[in-house]
Amino acid sequence: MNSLKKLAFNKWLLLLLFTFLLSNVNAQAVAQNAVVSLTPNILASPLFWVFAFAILGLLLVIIAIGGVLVGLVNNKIAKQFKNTLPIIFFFFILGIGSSQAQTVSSTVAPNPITQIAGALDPTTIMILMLVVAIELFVILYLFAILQKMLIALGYKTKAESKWTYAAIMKRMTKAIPLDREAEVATDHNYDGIIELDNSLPPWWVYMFYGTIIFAITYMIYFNFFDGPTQKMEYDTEVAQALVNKNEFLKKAAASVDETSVVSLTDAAALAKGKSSFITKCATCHGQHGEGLVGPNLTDAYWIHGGGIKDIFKTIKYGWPEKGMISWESQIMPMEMQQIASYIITLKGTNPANPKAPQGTIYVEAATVDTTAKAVAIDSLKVL
Amino acid sequence: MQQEQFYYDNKIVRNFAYASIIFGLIGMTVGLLIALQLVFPNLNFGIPYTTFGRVRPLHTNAVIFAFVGNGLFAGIYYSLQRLCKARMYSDVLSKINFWGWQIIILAAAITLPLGYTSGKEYAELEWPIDIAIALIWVVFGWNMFATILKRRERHLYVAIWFYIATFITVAVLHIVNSFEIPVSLFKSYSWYAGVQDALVQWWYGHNAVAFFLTTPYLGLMYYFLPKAANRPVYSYRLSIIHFWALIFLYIWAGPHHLLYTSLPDWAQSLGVVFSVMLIAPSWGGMINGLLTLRGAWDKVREDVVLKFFVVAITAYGMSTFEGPMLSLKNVNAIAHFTDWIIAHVHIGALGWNGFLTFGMLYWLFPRIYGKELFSKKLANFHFWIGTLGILFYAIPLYWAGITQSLMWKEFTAEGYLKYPNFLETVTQIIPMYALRSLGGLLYLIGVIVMTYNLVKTALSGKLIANELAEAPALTKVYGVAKNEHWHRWIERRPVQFMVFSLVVILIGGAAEIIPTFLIKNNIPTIASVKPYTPLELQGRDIYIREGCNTCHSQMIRPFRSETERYGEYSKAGEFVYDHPFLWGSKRTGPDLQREGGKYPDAWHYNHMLEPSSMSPGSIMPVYAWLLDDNLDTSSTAAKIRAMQTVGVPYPLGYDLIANKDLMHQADSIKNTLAQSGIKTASDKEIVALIAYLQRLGRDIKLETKLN
Repeated sequence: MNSLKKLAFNKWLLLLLFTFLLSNVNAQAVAQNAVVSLTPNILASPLFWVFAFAILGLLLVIIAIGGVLVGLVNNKIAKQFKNTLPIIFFFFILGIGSSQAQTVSSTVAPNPITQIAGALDPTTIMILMLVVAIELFVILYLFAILQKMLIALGYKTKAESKWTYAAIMKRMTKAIPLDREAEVATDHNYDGIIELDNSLPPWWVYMFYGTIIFAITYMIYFNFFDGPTQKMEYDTEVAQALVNKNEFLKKAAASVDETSVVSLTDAAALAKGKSSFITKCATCHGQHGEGLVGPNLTDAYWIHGGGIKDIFKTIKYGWPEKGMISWESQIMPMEMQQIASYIITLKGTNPANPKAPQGTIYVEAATVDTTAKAVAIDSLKVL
Repeated sequence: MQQEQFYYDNKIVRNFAYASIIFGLIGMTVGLLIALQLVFPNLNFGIPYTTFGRVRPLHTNAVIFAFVGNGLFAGIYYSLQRLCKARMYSDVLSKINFWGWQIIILAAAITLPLGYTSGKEYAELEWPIDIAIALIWVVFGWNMFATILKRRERHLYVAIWFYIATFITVAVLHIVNSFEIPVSLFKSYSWYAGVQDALVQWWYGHNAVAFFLTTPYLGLMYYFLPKAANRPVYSYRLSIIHFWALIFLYIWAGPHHLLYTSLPDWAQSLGVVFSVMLIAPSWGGMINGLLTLRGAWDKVREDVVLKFFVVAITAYGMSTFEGPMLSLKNVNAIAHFTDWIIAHVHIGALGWNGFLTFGMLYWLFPRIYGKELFSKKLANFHFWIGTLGILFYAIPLYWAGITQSLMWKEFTAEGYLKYPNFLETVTQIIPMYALRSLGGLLYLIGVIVMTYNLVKTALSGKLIANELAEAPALTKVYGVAKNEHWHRWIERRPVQFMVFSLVVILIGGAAEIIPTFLIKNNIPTIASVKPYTPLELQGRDIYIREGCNTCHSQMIRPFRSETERYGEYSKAGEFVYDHPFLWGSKRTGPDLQREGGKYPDAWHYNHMLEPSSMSPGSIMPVYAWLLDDNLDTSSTAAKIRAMQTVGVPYPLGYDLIANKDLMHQADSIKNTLAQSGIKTASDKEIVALIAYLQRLGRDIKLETKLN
């Protein structure tokens, strides 16, 4: 293959590799956003705003240099730069994309939290730093192209510039050109395999140092200073959730509980109750409430009372020792009310394959003692 | 200097290569089966031996230890002889290594479906097989080391450094993790309990990835890549730095499998930071590989072997970047227990190990058979369908993992879980499971095509069983060059090399494991936590036998989304009697740590008989045999004694009366079942399993009641 073709091939490969890297970083950012939305604290942090402004500022610089470049290409010259256009375009898109990501993450972030206000967790910091680093890299790259153009246009001579792409790459990789390979060759030869002794790529060395510094900082912060333990993180999360929940409930219509619940009769509510019943209750009580593992809900007999308040309470707290689980953490009060109301309507529907009655006949309006009046189950009647 | 003539042993290379191919086909087919079982649960055919929980370990063992294991032996046996300019030390040892390894694989293939398992991931095989593995591994090391000692090459090439580190570290890992107390010929309990067992297990598990799937393959890369590209290795000093840094840092990273668990915070932090520091040493291998191709990229477009290598090395770079990212606690909070991890692992397995093996085989066969490859077209087809397979495998699982995790964590404004029913989050991602199976199928088709291609190549040629070579013998005295690199010293001294690498890999493990064992406050005790009753113990062993822990975790992390769903988060002190620990690493089904008392006995009975009767749409397989099979109570006494040996405080002589307690508890469960209209005998396995499930997480509930 001739060298020109090779060059083109390499360029595309580079672009591909770079796109891959960025998409990887993007995926990380998405994951990070998700975390941010779960740990609501970053807006309170001054550090976050410093980063946000830095990121935005750098973005403007990118757009500015990009604009100059596009201007140069369009106005004057040099067909030789035509093929850098897609690359510039690519960075434009990237710039726009990340600015959008910025707005998204700011809108997602909810209520500031008091306990660890002002603190950013190390990973957030790292991700933000990564974004800044990428932007700096992009600026460097665009700047290098600009330099190259200026040289090509005769505004500058080659010798002056340390900031051409090639010069930067050379400094970061310290790679020796292929034709000077002999200079770094060792005398090692294993079954025909020869070893060169190229320098460690500086970018790789810096990355290694960077991770070591991260490691030391992390260990010190979390194990000797006030980095939160996972128990502290948990307590904070739960406390904040409680605050949020109470605030919401204050705003929302008063929530029902077992003392205030009343039977609903409108068709819409009962229909909702029915569909909830089928997805959540039918596995044990049967599709029509005829009873399976759980008791028959259509007859007159009730183990824990058949009034709306009793049923609501049974759903909410359960009777774990008898096998009825508590649904408190899974079903909203409103939905429990709908289900309980639907169950009331089942009375006397006489479905097929009814389970034999359990408990006592429930009489409406009687003051029912719901506190586990242990009723013997007639084991002969079962099955 | 006088040349000595000798012969390389190619027959052993061929044998290992064929074994790798055959077990690759089997292991991947089993993988495809279990992938499909997640979409069509009926594909377990209603019998125990093909059910997910038993077959999944079969898949992992087959691809890791049989496919990759035989692959690395093939590569090492080929390259070591040439790098040492010597035939293997002993043909007998080579044969013992080969046949011993195949017998171990056969034993695994029989015992795992039968349910004989230690319950520890990637170390499932029971104690007699563990001993066999140790012996065969030592035979391999002996053979390798003796070959190195009689070498005709003064210095050890970087590939051999990796082989030595592989041998010594896998030996240490395997032996330490396999400490177990036998109960019978096919049953043992882990010596360690709970948190300690978890730490040792993932120190092992993580480094099985490091020293069985990574370091030997880096060694193979250092031999086969420059050979195939006919280019010099990029940087000798990079080799030195990244080799020592890699083996030193890798051993510390195990705790990143246990982030946000009951493992002490300090150990978790170590797992995080050492994983992050691993990026550079891992990428050192990648860039030394990719930069070796400098000036040969035009060849990559034509040569299918190099294509495989480039994708393999790139996949290595991707997964070793992703790994440290997954080790960050807030990323891990999302990814752990989901299919994201399965995707991550398969980038490494399918991309790095698979493609490097394929590239190596395509390079090897023409050389040991003295014939050109049968069809380059087919090899290219394999490359493209394999690459496509990896994409179709990984992308849907990334999608599935993130989707499911976000569903697990989503709350409504009222403060309720948005998806309180775990099953909803499963049915959501089943289409992704289906796509993943397609990816696996494509990949498998590629391997079938390769097999045909290689067999055709072999049939058209004739094995050069003994390949003539010549080299001068080493002289006794060696004049050290004046400006020699300092590292050359140890490259001439294999024994010192091995000892030094042993020291380097012991540091990390010791620093993490020893304090966890010795410092009491690492595992605060909880007064209400009591040993399992005999029936619960038997039930727990059924849980282990059926591999329930492959899909169900028993580790509630301290997140609101988990405590809301499952109950109080797990405490280290709850697991002190768990030999082995059963925290699990994947939630295909919900966590079971606080399952006790959540549902009635009858629910569990019906659920095992037909899971979808209790949870419509469930993809859990049917466990009907538990309802019919009788519980073997003859083992109870031995089990109690074994538990006493590892420190579980049953009263003296309890082994003799344990079965009385067992029957008593079983009868009471039989009675509660009868009240729900279920007639069963009290000596069925289901009764023991129910007893165990109903015990789970109860101790700490008792504690909160007492307070």
